Amino acid sequence: MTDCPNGEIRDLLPDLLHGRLDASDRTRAEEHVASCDDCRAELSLLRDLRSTLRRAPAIDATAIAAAIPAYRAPVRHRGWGGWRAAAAIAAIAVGGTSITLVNHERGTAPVTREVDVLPKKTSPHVPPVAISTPSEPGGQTPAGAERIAPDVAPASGVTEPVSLAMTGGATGELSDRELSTLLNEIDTLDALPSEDVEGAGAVELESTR
Amino acid sequence: MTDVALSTDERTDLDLIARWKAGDQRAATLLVERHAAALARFASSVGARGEVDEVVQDTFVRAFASIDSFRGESSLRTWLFTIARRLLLDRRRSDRRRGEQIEVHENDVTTDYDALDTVVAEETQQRLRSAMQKLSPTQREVFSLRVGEGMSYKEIADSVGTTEGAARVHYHNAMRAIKEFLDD
Repeated sequence: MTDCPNGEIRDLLPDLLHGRLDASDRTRAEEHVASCDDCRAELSLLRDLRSTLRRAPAIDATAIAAAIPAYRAPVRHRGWGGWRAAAAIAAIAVGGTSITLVNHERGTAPVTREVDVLPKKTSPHVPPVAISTPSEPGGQTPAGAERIAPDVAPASGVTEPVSLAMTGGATGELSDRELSTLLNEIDTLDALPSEDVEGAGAVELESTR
Repeated sequence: MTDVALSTDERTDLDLIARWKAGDQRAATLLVERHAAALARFASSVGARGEVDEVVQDTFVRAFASIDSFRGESSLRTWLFTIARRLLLDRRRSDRRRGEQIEVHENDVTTDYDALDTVVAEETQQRLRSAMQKLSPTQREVFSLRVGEGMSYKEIADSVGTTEGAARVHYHNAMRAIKEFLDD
């Protein structure tokens, strides 16, 4: 049995067998088959093969259908997406509240640019420490505070310092090292650029020697 | 190449699915009646042997259980064939793990038809079955779907998990192999 060189028509023969061609393709295929012995033989073979393939054990459709339970609509579970969204909202709410509280503690300025430490009872060997940051607005230093200029010059000449003055007695009792640690922590809380923090630390350390 | 009747079939399937989801259990029976025989033929032709009933039933149970994942991107029948094929593959794998060497190769199809042969005893049918036994499992799957069920290459590709081009090559290779067997 030889193959017809017209591969396109041969490709259509199973569809012709199953009546799945549209009118124009069916006409084209039928006309070709009528004039082509190879395709006619192949179509006949396909018909026999289909007959062979379609012999299968009888199936009890009723029994199969009886095994199918009634439809149940899927239950939508709150998955990870919902959990993550809730967590994100909570985090934003907590974060926003914290920022508001911090700003409220600092007064009106949203970002602290200067920290002046003013011990109420200045011990003789502990000089007052002031830490300025380069971008802080200029301003007045509260009385009793000695401003120690950092290595970095302020960006603006007009400043209005936002002071975090420690006027309570407790901080005045701190040792130099504890005070240094506290100041560093405060600066860290302000999320200032790292070079400012380092500069402030250097000034503080120098001032305590 | 696409037939209008096919779209009608698909619409009917979708209507029956909607009816079943609405609580009409008879719609499920109608769906089974529409597709069970084709699934049985397919399962049998690729070597399901004595488990055709089980495979067909499992196919429907799984299909109905996950009917909401059927998006109608292919026909329901194509989707059912995909499920049946996976079930058959799973069974073959588990049989292999149990040490039962049930590869779907040479003689699998004949076992289904042995009993039938004694009744029919037709030489042509026997030769054709023998010819199809020579096909590789993939060729037999594709050939069965193309010639036995009249599926398009697109539908076959969706069912078997391959491309239309590969399905076409498998079909023509199978056809050539059958002709060569019959010519010998």
